[in-house]
Amino acid sequence: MFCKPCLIVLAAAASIPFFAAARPTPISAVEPVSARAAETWKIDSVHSMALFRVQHLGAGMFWGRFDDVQGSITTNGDQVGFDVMIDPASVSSGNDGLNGHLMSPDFFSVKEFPQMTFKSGTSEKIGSNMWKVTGDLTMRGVTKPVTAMIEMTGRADMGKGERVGFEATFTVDRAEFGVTYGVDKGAIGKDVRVIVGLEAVGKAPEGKI
Amino acid sequence: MEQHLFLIAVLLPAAVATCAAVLLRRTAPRLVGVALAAACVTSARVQDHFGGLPPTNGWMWLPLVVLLVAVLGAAAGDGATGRQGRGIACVVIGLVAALLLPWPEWRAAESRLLLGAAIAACSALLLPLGMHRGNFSWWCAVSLGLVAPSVLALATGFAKLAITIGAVSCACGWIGVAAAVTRPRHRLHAGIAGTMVLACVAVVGSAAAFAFDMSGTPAWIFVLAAAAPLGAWLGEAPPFRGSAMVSALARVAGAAMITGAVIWQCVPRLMPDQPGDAYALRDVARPPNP
Repeated sequence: MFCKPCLIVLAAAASIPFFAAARPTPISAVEPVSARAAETWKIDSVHSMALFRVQHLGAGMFWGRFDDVQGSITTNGDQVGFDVMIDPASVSSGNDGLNGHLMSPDFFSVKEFPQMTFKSGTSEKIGSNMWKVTGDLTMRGVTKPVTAMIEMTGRADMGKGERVGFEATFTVDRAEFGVTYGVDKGAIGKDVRVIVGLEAVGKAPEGKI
Repeated sequence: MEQHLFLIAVLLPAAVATCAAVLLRRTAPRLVGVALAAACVTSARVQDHFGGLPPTNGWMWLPLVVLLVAVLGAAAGDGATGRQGRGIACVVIGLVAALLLPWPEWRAAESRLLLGAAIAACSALLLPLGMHRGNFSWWCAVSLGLVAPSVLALATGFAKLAITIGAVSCACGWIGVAAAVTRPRHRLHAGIAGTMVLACVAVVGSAAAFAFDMSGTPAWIFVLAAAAPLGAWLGEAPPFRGSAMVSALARVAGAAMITGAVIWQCVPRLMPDQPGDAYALRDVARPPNP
């Protein structure tokens, strides 16, 4: 009924909407956050993590990560809000012995303080996808205000619920939170840079998070 | 400055014990206990940069409890001369200490009771020695005995606790040196207060290491570390009592054996295949890329 080239053209035309839906939408093409109503996103803990970086023995930068990051993100007009919880027992350095030391009261004291939290307060939009967010960081029972630079890294729906990604960067003085091990002689740096990569899902299809 | 304070804290008990034994013979043991507690408090507070009070970090209650035990022990000094009086003092101090500690694993009432009983039992067992043996071998045995909880704390990844217990162990060693120098005229007894402080540091130090341990170290190693100073009793065993020299050697050997057993158990944790402390270098050979 149809010739072979016609069939190929028809098949290609029919597949356009499928590919269009599957390809991630670039940030520049997404509807600006300000145009949307208030939305709440649940952090996907499998695809979110927090990295920290600290100077070791005055030389190299040591990196560690927390694998268990949970919480929620709210977007409302130009405002973004974060309510993030990190399980310090999920700290990972790639070395079992060092992980044990990081979990001890010398550092995160995970048995005594089983959760670290960040609750945002005010947010200021400083670029098309950038915010300056001030909030309270609670670590080892001490709460201090921190200011994080947060970038929206993407927003897409690839069939597993609409997702949004953020990357937050901030620096903390660990001594302010009572993590003083190695500070005296500068063996381990006092300032710790933290980078949190968040992926959050809006209305996810059942069992697809 | 803070490092200097640490050094002073370690040397202070020996200086206090010597001066008190020479100048104030009767009240000397009370001061030794308080000086030992001061060494514990200073070494811990230095590491915490003299943080606020009450401390936000649970383990910082350890030096405060030790100080309280020293003060109570010093207060009980004259009133608790009899066996019954000493027993009551041990129980009261054990329970007061256990009630104050806000640590994970020790929050339940029965756990606190167990910890209090352990402090009381260790104090009661050490008291006969602490009140009558003021020589070099006794202080050396106690110093070696406290190495066990210190090494165990280090093996479980709790370096600050290891340093704090190590400071008290070091202070005991210096008192032992002072006892050797001042003998035979003066004997530097630990007295009720000092002995209770030593028992409390051993038991509560081991309990702290257990409370914050994430390495899965078996519980019996913590019990062994807490009991290490009791190894000094070997010097009182009938085969060794005949000669003062043999008794002294047995006293030291008893504590050294228990401490050695604890260190033996900790060696694989302290020196694993991969270096595991925050200062270690990663020098494990990596396989070549295929």
